[in-house]
Amino acid sequence: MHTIRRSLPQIALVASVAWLACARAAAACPDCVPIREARAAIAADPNFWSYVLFTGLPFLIVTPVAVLVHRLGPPPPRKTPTP
Amino acid sequence: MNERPRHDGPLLASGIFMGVGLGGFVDGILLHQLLQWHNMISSWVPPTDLVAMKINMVWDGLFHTLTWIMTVTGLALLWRAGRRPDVPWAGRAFVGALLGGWGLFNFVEGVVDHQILGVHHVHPGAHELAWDLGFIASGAVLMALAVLLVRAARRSY
Repeated sequence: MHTIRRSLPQIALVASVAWLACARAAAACPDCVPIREARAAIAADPNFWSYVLFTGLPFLIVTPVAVLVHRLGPPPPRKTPTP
Repeated sequence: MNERPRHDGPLLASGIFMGVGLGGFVDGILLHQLLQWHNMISSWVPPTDLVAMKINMVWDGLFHTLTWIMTVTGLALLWRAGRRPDVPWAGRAFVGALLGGWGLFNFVEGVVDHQILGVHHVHPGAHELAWDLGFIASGAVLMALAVLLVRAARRSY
């Protein structure tokens, strides 16, 4: 009984998180009119590939810099076969 | 003869990747979601109604996907670097690289997305340019800090 009483805060936390998750899932609307409109607008947007490029461009620029830095310094020591 | 580990490239690269990813998350979580100052394409598709907001959310999602990939790449490189005897395990150098990656992201994103493409601005409206330039400057400051930290760390190995 004492253990259960001590665990009450944790049980309440887990229960409230579970309740919130269920409430959120019920309130979510994966196929409502605005979402369908948004999906259709994105698919029909002539700038679709421009947006893909614009979103990815900073990462495309930064990646070669990091790759270049990776090569800095002397190469890793070669493993020499032991006689 | 036992040589000291000096090949810090893999450690710095992992830090840069993670810095880019985590810096991107700061932008996406703080500026896009919590403060709601801008979204990924909010200058081209202003989020003035629910549909436009949803469209911006999709592009924010792509942005967060890329920042996630950067973070995971950095983590994988860090894991590999930690197993190499020739790579120094230097916290200060790694933090410097983290800041460098964050700064690099702010600088490049600020120049490319805000200034050249104008796909969104940091804080649209009054003093828009000042906010944009401040964002780029924050990138430069972070990169300068990164250089100082990495240089200081290199003196120890």
